[in-house]
Amino acid sequence: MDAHPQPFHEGTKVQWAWDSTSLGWLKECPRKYQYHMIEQWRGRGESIHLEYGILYHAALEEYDRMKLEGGMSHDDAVRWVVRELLTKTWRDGLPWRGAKDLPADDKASLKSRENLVRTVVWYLNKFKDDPAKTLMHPVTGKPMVELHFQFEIEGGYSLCGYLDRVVEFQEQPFVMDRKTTTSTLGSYYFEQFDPDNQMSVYTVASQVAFHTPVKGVIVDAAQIAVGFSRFVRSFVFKTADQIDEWMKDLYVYLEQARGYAERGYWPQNDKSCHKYGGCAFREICSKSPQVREKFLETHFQREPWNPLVPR
Amino acid sequence: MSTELSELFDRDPLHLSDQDLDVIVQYQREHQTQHELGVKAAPAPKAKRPSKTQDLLKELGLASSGDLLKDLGLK
Repeated sequence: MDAHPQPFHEGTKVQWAWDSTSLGWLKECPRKYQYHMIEQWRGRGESIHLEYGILYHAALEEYDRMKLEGGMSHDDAVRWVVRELLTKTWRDGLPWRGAKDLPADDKASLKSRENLVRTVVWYLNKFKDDPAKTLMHPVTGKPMVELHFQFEIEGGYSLCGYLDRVVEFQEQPFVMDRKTTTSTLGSYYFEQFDPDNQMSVYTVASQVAFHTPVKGVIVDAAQIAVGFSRFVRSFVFKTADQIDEWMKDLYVYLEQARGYAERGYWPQNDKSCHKYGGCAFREICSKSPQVREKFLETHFQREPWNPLVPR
Repeated sequence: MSTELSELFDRDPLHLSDQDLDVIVQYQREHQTQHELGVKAAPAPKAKRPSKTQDLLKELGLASSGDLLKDLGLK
């Protein structure tokens, strides 16, 4: 039995603890939310994206902690992080295969163990003297990295999640959100974050949970390509009025989710299937309802997503 | 990736010394510098793709269009 607290009200599918990921699924398409959040289906490529992201985030967090808390030099902290990465990606006496078993045309296929180490070393080399300085927590005195937050909002709901890093840049506080992608880091890539659900959640969280009135979010993106990694940062600014509007919209969405859960039916938004690089469930939804379960079982695996579980 | 580096990646991380890790880090730093300077590894020579005509001739038991031309006395 899962000992962790559950994000749903007991005996129902009404979700009370929301993070930006589950909220994003709901906003994109209620059926996508049903498959991911309610039924816990995850595609193989998605799992690799997720695991790669977690390893990348953990490595950079570890570096910050080793330097700021442990007092390590840059070179010692890099060596420490590489050892940690190699150890975490050593599975049952063999190197983690990452995306090696995926077809070459799968977007996740570049996310390998070797590319992960390369990306982390290149990032730390590029930002050795990072102009964005990690802030120290005003109460704990610890670096503000990988900060879990959970706070109540109206209607018995909670918002929860993680902030990768809170920084000071040009004397202004910002949340920094790290992303890995195989897409080219141009304006087209960054436009997807403004407006964006995740950026709004992070801005609210920094203000409510950490009493840090940030100006917005710095998207700290790493592109994983064939033979190289590349890093570009971009800003998403949020005004107080924009945040108020986002909160107002949020309650509408949460009530919609409650309605779907009470009816036990999450409708397809068939105008979303081809967006965001194509929904992972597009092929499932294109099948007749009677055979979808079989296809899900063949092509997907069950991995629960619980916003309340520390990553 | 060099053979030495591949060998380090394939080794149990518990058996890697600090020097081994420095080799990995140093390799990546040099690779990054080279990339930023625009130095790319020389591409492997591409195998010449036989043309469709050559494929057809092969299927007909003729080695190449040159042979065909020779057979026809045109070369």
